[in-house]
Amino acid sequence: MAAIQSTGKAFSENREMKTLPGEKKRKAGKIASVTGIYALLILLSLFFLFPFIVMVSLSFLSDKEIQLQVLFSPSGTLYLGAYAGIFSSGSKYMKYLANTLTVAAITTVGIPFVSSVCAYGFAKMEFKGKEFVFGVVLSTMMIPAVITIVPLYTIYAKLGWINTLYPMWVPALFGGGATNIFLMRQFMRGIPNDMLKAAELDGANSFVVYTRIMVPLCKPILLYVAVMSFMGAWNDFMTPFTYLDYGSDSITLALGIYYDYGPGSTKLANEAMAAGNVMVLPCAILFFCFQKYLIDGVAVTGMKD
Amino acid sequence: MTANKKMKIRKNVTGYLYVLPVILGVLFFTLLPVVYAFINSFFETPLKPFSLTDWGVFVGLKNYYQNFTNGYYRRRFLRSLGVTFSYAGIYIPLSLVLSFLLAVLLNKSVKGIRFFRVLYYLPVLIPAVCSGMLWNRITDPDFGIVNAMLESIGLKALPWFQTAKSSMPSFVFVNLFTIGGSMILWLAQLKNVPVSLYESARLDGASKLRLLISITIPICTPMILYNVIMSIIGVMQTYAQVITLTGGSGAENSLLFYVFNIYDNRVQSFGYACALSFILFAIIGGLTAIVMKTSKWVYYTEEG
Amino acid sequence: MTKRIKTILSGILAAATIFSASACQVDTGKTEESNSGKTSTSVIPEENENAEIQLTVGTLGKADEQSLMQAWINEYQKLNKNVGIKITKNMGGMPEIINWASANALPDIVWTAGDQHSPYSGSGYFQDLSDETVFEGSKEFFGGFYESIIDSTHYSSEDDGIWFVPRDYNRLVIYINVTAFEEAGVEVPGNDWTWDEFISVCKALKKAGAKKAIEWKSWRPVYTTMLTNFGGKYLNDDGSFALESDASKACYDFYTNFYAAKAEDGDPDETALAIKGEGASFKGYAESITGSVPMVVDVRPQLTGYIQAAYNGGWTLDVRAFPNFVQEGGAEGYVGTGCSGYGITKACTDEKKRAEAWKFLKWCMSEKGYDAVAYLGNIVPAIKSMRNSGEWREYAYGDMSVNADAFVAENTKDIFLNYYNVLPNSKQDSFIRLTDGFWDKVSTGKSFSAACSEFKRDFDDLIQ
Repeated sequence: MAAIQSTGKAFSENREMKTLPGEKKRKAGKIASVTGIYALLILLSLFFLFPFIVMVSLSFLSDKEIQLQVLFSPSGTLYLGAYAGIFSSGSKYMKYLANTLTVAAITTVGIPFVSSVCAYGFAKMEFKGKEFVFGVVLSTMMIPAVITIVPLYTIYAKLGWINTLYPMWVPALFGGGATNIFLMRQFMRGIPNDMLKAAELDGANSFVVYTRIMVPLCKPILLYVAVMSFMGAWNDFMTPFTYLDYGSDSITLALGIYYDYGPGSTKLANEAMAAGNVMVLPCAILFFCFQKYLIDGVAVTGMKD
Repeated sequence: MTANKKMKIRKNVTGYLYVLPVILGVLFFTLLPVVYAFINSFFETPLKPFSLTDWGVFVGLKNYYQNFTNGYYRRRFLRSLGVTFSYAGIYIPLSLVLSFLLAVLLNKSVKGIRFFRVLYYLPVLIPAVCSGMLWNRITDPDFGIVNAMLESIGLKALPWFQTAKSSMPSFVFVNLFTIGGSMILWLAQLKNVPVSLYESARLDGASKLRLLISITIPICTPMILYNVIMSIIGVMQTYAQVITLTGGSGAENSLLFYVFNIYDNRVQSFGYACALSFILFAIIGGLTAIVMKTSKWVYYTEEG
Repeated sequence: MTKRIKTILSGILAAATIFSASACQVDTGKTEESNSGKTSTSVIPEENENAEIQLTVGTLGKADEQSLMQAWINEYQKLNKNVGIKITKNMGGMPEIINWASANALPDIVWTAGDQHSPYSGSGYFQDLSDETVFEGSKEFFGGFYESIIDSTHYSSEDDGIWFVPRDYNRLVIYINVTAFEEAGVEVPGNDWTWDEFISVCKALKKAGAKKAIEWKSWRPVYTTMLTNFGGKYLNDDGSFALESDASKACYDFYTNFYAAKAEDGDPDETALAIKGEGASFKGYAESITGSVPMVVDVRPQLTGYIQAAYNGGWTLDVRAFPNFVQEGGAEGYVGTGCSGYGITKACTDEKKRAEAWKFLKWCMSEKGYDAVAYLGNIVPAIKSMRNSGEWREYAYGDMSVNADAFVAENTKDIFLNYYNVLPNSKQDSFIRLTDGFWDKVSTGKSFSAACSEFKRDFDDLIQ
């Protein structure tokens, strides 16, 4: 490899000197390819932005204009009635929002904490059967959600948890999910043991080591897991769909939008789009603030959740 | 007990204490329902309330084999398998290739490329519910705007989800908006490829295409494997996108996915739904095993 | 970065607290769903908390259903201080009562519908109200209801039990946008119009620029009505398949034409006149007939939604009876008639409670009970004595009211919508799905023979 590199270097020097006359042609070709790339990028961005453009522009059409099949209001005004209807005191949307916020807040705080504790156990602690238990936990990733969610209905019915918010966040607090534990363990393995051993020698027990040393070091991955948990809880549809009845008080945003504005509803499209926009907004804001962490979090572990 | 043994026991106990939440979680929220579903799949429970004690009529393996013997159930079962597999067969390779190409495009060091990366990731933020509701409304045959827009450009209006033939392609199209997610993964992976390999290959006179095929792709094969396995597990469980889009199983059952069949029977024939879930479990496990066994083409670099 | 994170987190926390605080101010009274910014009727629940008998009720989740039941409850509790009734459950459909039963939360009284109760009555979820020994006065009480309604309270053709108390007499009617008719220059027909007159009205509306003439709901009672009018039927009395006939083919072809996107020269009269919809296009009238849909086929409970849309949109609404599809030989046409109602469930075992629940239901479906809720305007009484009288006929929203005769027209015959009653209970639900699947094929270009043979094949497998 080194030999190739050294000869390559010499070779490239010779090459550079030889190609001086052809440089102008190269530059012109480069400009053409750069503009070509920009054109392609802009074309693709129109494609990817299409859902957003439609959602936002349809939400500003008035009730009468929505039947005319146009994207932008022919009268040029922005109609805010769709959003006003959502936030009016009589709409159920605020209740959905409150429920979803509750679930999301609990999981965003709980899941990183629980999964980091368990991952610490798997990464740094030694106990008999550790590999076996970890293997079992990993294999639960392969179990289809359907086979656990549907039968749990009976068990929750016996506990009286149907039509409450408990099924949404209680299972999440028991371990935080196999993928999150896996991610955190990967990250923790990358932290050298010397610091931990030094702290242990100073007389600290494992929990103090965990809180004082591990947690501060794991901030990036903790943040990543927290943001992912928030988005997961915010957008979750299957769990509320299985456990909540139609008129329940605990309906979350995703299920509420499905019941109120989904297929078969008689509400007009502008209200539906407005509701969808308000639902997407928090996740979009979170993403914009934390995009560096999200993309880095992916890079650090090499895997997505 | 010697001091050593005491310490060992203490070590084991503390270790288990740390992982106690996940052990309890797996036992109660994963293992228990699986066992319950397994037992229940041998009973027939038409319109019965669910109960932990009252099991219904014991019918042995009927819930399993009636998927092949009874024509009504067989047609639905095979149809759901066909739809799910054809969607997997089309969507997984398509999204893999497209997101990879997109990542290669966005890996170029052009000014402002970061802005485009964020832009392409945006549709991933729209949850399945909102996306389904959006597409349901804009492809509405009477008041949807997509056909109106196509006609204003001069193209023909498309039937989207109204006919059986066009439902699956439309569904694949709608789901292609989210390849931004995989694209980010590929970008991370592409950055891991050592630049020196590229340099030396280019010096040897390799064209850009050759670089792609012989260096980039082989190094990315672990990622491809992971992506394929995760996609299989995900695609087999498609449900939320379909039900928010069409409210059911599409024109003439063209979008009758496997999980939809399970949820359809969830309340009225719970035992049959459990049997179907187990069959799904077996299918996913089998597919994953096959993919892992035939993964000799994966080239593992020295792990960092 | 940490500072930014802190500010963002505190911002999110602040937003969360604001949202939760405003959510606490959500009006807990029952409000009627309406498009943004419009008035709504709500019925605030009153409770007799210390009453010695407490009953629970389960209703449909829709706001006007809840208002209706709550109005009845409030009025009844005023007259009977010893009873406290509460709505504890809302449903989107019948299967949910299985979930409620699993959670031991099945209410004493539950909503059901004539064409949806059979599988559940047959499985024991409801109690037989025709039993005079338990429910006194039932024979006399049920004798006052329309016959077709009582026919739908049985769960199979061999059953004579009455499994719920019917609440309303829901005939299909046609809602009309009078303003659009005037703009199109088409005369608004009378309640005795025939099917041919209906088709010509549709064609005239389309000619005047309407997008399509009518929003024809793709709904089981409507399909059954048209099938019966054309002379076809799904099943014979012995439970054998009866759909393969020229009459059924005529109906299928009619639907194919009716829903077609465009009419070419030489197409039959009824081509491309209707859209499949749930009423949203009718409500969304945009001040001009161009691009709008001026008629919709629906039932009385939806009147409140339409009349509000008309009042707020500034156009006039009226109703006409379903057109008379005159049969061969001049006999009257058929109109699908359904009902919903309330049944007493198997959870109501205590004798005192059951007697009180029965009393409550009897009072609701009496002249006094119907008059008490007439101001809500969403039901036509199911008792024959109120056909041409009663406060329900005076319903008005603001200053807008509609023709009440349309809902009780006597020039057409009611049809029995429970065509599947000849089948055993366990097969009824699947058969209903098969019929829905059959009619879904109309717009996909499948021929009648193909669709029908598929239906027959599935039916044979189901019955085996």
